[in-house]
Amino acid sequence: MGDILFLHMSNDPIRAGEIVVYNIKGRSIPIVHRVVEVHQRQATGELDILTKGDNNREDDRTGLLYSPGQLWLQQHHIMGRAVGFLPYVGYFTIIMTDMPILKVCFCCPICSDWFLGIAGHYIKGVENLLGSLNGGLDK
Amino acid sequence: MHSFGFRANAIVTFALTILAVICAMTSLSDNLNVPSPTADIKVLNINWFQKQPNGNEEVSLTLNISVDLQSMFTWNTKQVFVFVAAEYETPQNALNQVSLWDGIIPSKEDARFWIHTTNKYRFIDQGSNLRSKDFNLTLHWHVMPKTGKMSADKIVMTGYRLPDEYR
Repeated sequence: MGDILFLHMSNDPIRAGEIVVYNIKGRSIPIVHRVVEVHQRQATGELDILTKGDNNREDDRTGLLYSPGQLWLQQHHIMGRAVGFLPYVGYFTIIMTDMPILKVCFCCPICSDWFLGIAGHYIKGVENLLGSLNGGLDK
Repeated sequence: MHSFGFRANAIVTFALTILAVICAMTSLSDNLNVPSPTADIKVLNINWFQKQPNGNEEVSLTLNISVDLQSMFTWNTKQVFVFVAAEYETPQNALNQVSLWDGIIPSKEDARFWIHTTNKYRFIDQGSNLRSKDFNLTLHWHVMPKTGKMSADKIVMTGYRLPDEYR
């Protein structure tokens, strides 16, 4: 959790082993799972795709992630392939989402000046306190 | 110009830029690695081979999978995901890929192993095309880095064949 995933989509057909992001109609959150089965039609090149999370025992169809009655994903369900990631950077986004007040504190220039100004005063106060403690020890 | 806000902003921006540069250099260092993976898969037994009521054929196999992926590991490797897929063609489908087994290799020491197992996931065709079918077994691996670009490759092993009759 907290990793940022880089996605890329090309028109190359999906193959087994690729990590893909897909959306199911009616579900709000896209799912990032690995392709475990591919069946490609001779005439049209259309694909039937089955996915599964690496740590799950069951594939996504058995695990009820697809729409009821849906056996396969098609290429048009796939939004992108994962190609790389940055660890932990996403925590910044998660914290901002969980505590929206922080978006205002950090991003709005007036509020961030005020917020950081208050923080600055607080830190100066701590410095003074430490300074006077050190000064006291030196004497 | 010298308020706490401006200075904090400058420091944070600089720190994040340095972090991004270090991550990029770490990822690029993976290109210096020259890997030499090896693999061998034997089909020890066809346990059973039947047609389901819905018309799709299913086969159960016992495999011996022997793998050496130690050369894929660098200091920037978090783990390697490895899986075995059966690949074959049918009159209806130009390509079928069915994953039979997979595993996560957490460290270099664990990357050289052999395993004797029945297929972890079910080998079910779309239809009944598997009798006398020639198929490939392909070992795929995905290297997941601690940071940066993922890489993947495979070894294709040919010459496997399913029985002519159900059993």
